[in-house]
Amino acid sequence: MLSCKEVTELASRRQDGVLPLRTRVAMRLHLMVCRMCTRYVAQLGFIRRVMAVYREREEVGKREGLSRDGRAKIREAIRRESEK
Amino acid sequence: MRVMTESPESVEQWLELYGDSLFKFALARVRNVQVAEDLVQETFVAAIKARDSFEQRSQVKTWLTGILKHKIIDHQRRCAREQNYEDADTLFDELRQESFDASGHWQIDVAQWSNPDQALEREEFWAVMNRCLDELPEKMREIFLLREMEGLSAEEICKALPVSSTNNVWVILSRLRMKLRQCLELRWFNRAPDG
Repeated sequence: MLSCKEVTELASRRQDGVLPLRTRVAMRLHLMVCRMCTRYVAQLGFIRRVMAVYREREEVGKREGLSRDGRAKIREAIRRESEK
Repeated sequence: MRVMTESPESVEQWLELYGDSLFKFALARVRNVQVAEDLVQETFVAAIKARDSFEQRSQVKTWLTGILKHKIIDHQRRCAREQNYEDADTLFDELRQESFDASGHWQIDVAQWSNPDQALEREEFWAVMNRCLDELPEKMREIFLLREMEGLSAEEICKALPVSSTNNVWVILSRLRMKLRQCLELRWFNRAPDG
């Protein structure tokens, strides 16, 4: 029987590839009797959905764009490069 | 028509049109304002140099984003060269020790999160999520972002960064997810159980 610690690692690994059949079965058996691991697996699934939304909306907080200084610096770099 | 026939002002117009969205794209991946701005600058400079190879049939924004993606990976590779990932095994050891007993079973309560998806629409949730991401060790976070943002496999991450093995990547990802889970539970779900 897998330990909870092992199941948490496998739950993550499952998000990054396919687990061998034997491991998948062992994990399923564990999840049938372990409420905490079932929650953990669901929560990792949630974090994955969060990251999908983060990727889509680029949820980086209140920063909507370049700073005024940053934009001016880039404009200057564009001019310099264009004159070469 | 090829872009090489356009005036330099066009690139400045691109800055106005796409500068902010390129910046957000970079910031979401490197999580450092200064680095993100520098990468956007490098992108525009590279775009001027590569104008000849740009075909009008592709979208300017897509083309610029493609250049930026390479710049981001180059930046991450450059930073990673100065670091090592040997300490992956001890990453968040404390959290694991307090989470599991000697036989590897939970000794903390994994709380039930009610209606977690509702949080996705809340601005306050994203402030918490960004804080949780910022608290991850930078070099480890890059691995997580490459996986989640670019969809790179463990093998591809090993090629992009000097991580010794795919197993090491899996270990790092597993620890980071555990840490993020704990952070969200403490900072969001325990404080706002109704989501």
